[in-house]
Amino acid sequence: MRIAAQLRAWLLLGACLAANVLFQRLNPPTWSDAYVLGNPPPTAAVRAATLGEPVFAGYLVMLYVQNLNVHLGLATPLAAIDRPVILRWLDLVTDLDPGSGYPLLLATGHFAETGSPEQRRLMLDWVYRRFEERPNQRWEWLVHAVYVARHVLNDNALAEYYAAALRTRVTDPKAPSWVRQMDLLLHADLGEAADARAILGGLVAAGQIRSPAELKFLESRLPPLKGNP
Amino acid sequence: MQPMSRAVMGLARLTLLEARRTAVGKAALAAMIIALSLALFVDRIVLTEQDRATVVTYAVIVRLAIVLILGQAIIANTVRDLNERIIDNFLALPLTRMQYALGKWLGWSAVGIVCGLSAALPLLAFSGTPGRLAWALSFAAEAVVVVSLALLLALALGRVITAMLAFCAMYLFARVGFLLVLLSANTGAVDGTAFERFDARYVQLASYLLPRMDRFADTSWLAGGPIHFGPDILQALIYIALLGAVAGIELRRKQF
Repeated sequence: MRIAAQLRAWLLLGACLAANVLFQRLNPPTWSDAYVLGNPPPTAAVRAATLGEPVFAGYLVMLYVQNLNVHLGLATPLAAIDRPVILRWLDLVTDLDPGSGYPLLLATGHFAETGSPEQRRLMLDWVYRRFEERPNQRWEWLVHAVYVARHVLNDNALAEYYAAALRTRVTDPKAPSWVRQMDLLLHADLGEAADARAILGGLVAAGQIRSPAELKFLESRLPPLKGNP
Repeated sequence: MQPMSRAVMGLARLTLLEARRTAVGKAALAAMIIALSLALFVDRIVLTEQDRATVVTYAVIVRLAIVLILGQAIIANTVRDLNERIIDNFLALPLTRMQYALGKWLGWSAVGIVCGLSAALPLLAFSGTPGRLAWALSFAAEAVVVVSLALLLALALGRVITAMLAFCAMYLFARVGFLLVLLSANTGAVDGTAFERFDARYVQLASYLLPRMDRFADTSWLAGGPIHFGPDILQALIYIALLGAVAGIELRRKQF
């Protein structure tokens, strides 16, 4: 008798659990208007909402921004998303957690590689502005911006501008030497021999190239000057 | 050892036993496993800085969970002592009410410190993470403050729901109080006549009555931010002494 009662109780539990699973399967979570990204809340409000945990808040906001265009596997084109609003969200995260490179990665690797050239330039400009605040921590994102400007936008002048900023603003000795040499390699790649040689001379004079093998390698990348064989 | 000290230490040991029997350790372990699972999920969905995001997520969740577990366990245990008159048995020993509270505080503080330090153990797996030792010690200090607050509220209010509500409200305000004070200063709420400044002033007044809990176990330490550990210890000492003073008055007034 008692076993039958216990069995009934377990059956009832199983039935209720199955009903709940069925309900969840029939009513999957949906995002409505996920691609309509409003303005971000104030920084102080976000900090307060996460009990004064700005780093954690930064990651939560990034996950939201990163996934806002995906609607249960149906992706909204990133180009349809308002770039100035995205930049306000990226500013929010950078202000919350200045040590994180996540918003810079999203700007260069996610939003700057899609959309119209104007939209992409907007993202690269933002990366450059934020790079200027902390060049020694944020150089790697400007390196990516050089790549996007050169090979995605095909804007060599913009790529050279960013590469020059890398050469002049990055002073951290822990940063790899190629970061400061990027300007030289870019000019060499574009066949601007005179400029490339001038930059190489500057790097040598500043003591940033110490190894003879490195100097030899860089010289081998230089195109011949016009008029020379 | 004096009989009185022996009784206090005996009560502390009994409290440790009580914590073991009421599965506080198991609850803390479950909280750590859940926090770690969520953190590892975050590790899978972020695009970059996986270790940093995992550590930060774990630290934020486990900190809040352990604080709530400690608060709930202490309040439930102490209120039960009061309601079931178990406290009378203790007070039949050569113990004053303050010594009874001291014995309980020592026991629960030991539980809090063990929970705080244990919560930091999973961080050992993230070898590149800075500030792990400072975070662990700071969290242990926070746990002692939390224990003291929960014990005082339980003894003073004598009801689980009321004490738990007061505990949550005070802890949450202690975490975000500094932001409210900053907001009131930045938005000009502290300007104007005395009447106009009233609401900004009571936010400031409330912040004077509570500890700066945002200073403890700062997650930014684990994310490469500067570590300021000394002020935490000072804040913990000041606030534990303050709660001790309040307990001295409350327990003299109280009729158990």
